[in-house]
Amino acid sequence: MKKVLVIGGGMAGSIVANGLARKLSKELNNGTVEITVLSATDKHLYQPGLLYLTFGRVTESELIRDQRGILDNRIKFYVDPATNIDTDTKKVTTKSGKVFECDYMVIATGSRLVPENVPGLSEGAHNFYSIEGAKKLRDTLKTFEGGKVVVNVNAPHKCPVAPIEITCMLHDFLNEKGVLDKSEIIYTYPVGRLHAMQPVADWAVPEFEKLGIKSETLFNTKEVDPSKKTITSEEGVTLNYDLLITIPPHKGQQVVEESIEGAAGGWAPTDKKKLYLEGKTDVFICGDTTNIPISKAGSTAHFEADTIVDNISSLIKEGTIARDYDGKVFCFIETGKEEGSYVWFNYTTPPAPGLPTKAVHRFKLAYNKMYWLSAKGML
Amino acid sequence: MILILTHINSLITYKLRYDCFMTERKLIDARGAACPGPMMELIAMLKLVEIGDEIELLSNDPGTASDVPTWCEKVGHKLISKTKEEDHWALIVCRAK
Repeated sequence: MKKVLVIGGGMAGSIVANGLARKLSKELNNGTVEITVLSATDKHLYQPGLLYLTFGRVTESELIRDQRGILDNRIKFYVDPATNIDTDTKKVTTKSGKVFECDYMVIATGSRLVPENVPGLSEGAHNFYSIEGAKKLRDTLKTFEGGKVVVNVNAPHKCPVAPIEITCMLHDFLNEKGVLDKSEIIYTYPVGRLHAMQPVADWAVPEFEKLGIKSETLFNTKEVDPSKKTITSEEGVTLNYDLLITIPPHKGQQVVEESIEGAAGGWAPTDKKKLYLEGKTDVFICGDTTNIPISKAGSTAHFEADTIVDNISSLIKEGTIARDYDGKVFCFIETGKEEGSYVWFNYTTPPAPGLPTKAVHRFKLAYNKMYWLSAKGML
Repeated sequence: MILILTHINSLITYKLRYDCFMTERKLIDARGAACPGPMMELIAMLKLVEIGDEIELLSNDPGTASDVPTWCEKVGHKLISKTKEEDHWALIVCRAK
């Protein structure tokens, strides 16, 4: 019997496990393959939906489903997070003390928010990168009567265009609430442009100008003073705020940082084409967990997962790897006024976002509903 | 004698200009890291070194190569050199304050 162990039940882990269940259906049924998923939670969260929850466009219940129901019922599933990952022996120890062994391992443990790495950020800032954060921000926005809003971006972070999206959607929200004329929105970014990707930054400049959004680039957050309502950069710039929304810095999971050699920041060293853990041919890394220098996005996780599904099933059936991951990333960009754009790129094709349209916005809303088919490995 | 005096003068000029005389140099190899990762590593390292110490940052990200000099000027650290190698840039920054 060949055992596949998937560590992580988020988007990447679910798509890998379900995709393998489809490709190896016969083998699962006759018991020659076993697929196991380990997760820290029994729930599956559609993370891109948090942006919409922030503005009251969706409810919490629309973003969460039981993880057991997402997975093919032949997949073994345990809510028992990994506490140690030994990629040499391919043994994983979990919180309950169990030890799981496998022939192929997929590490898809995602990323975590670390606002505590910036003094005062947790206390002084809202963020929409968690259910709790999005709900808290939603409730604050309901009673916000206008003022200075700072949208503060820290790196690294997942969902590369979410900072631009929240800024544009916030503009719409304040306008609809009738307090835009009493408000000012300032967007801060760590490098000398509006986005790390130059084409996206160039695209964002006229979009922000249209909306009257100000920016402060080369702003690397040093500290927040919640009592004075100020945010200060390493570069010596201090901004006052009435409302501070942050995209907090992220790290990979602690278990990855502690278990895997070379996993600085919790990002596992990954072959950018084969998606192997560097130095291995039977351990794969998927989603945010990689250290590949591309965007950490849901689509990245999806395209990587598809590649890993093809490769593990090919290795099991034919003893050979099937294909490379080409670096593809695809992100919708909500631009406000019920319009949206998108950007896609890969290792050889740079990004080139287009003009916003209502059609793209509607397609994004449709995808928000269709996501569950992706998680089940069907789309 | 003239050569010795010229050399001494160059050293003094270097010190006055850069305040980075007889310093320790740290290396950050950020090749393969995406923007703004390399610059963030530089900023983190600058907090750990002493004033006058140098950091050499290696990066193959073009955004980093343009951001670091601008950032140094804004913050007041010294960009000692920026060199284009075959497949990456090597930037040497001195902590000036």
